[in-house]
Amino acid sequence: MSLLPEKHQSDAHNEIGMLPMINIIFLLLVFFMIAGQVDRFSGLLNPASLSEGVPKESSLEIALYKNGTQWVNGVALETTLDEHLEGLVIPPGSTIVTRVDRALPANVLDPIISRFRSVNDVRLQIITVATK
Amino acid sequence: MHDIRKRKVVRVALTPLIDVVFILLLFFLLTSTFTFDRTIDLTVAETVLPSSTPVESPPPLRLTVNDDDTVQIEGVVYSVEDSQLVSRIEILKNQTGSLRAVIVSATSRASVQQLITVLDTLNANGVTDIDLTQSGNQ
Repeated sequence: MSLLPEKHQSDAHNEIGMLPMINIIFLLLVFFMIAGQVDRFSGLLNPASLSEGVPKESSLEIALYKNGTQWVNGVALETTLDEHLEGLVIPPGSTIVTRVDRALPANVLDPIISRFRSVNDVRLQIITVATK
Repeated sequence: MHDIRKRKVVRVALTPLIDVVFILLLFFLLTSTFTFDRTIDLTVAETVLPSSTPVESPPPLRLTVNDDDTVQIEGVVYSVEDSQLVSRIEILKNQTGSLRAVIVSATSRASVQQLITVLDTLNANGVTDIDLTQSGNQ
């Protein structure tokens, strides 16, 4: 038994409050905008690792995908990685950030190693994902 | 005479705004990731040590990562999960009295994940100064 008169009862049943829903949508939007990171490397499965190392700023970022596509500093390569790296000059002490798909054979790193092994104090950072 | 002014109620349409907010929400829901990048740090090593290496410096400790989750160290094959692997590396590293460099390579069939697992094992047990060399070069 309701305390509201019959007319008001029917009104209350017909109106669905949209404001709480819109508030929640806004909150979700703000949460995802602030807390999330847009995945720039979708399709590339980083190897799992227990490492706690944090990526450093790097002037050279190489991404090697499972399907064979290779990206250097956000640009897809039309030549082979060897050819592209040949012309690159890296100062001593640089850090090279490499994103490489976990399913690829380890020898995909060979062109990077062979190109930079003669440069003094070059660090190679392989991006990994935390093991669950 | 009464001047009756009809006040026009201006209603701002909220529906397009809500539509846009929904689209933005969907975009962020689908593209956001909450996994933060971690790294394994390495140096890249010469395949052949330079001839100018001092005679007194000990030869580097070479590890080869195989594709069957095993590691070959100086001719002996260990499983990656073998508890003796780390202690063996520690012994070999300090065998000559001074710390030997650790050089890691992988066979051509070993995957990146298998290589990282071995590097991870080394890192987790205090072996952080690791050189990576080309596959199959021993």
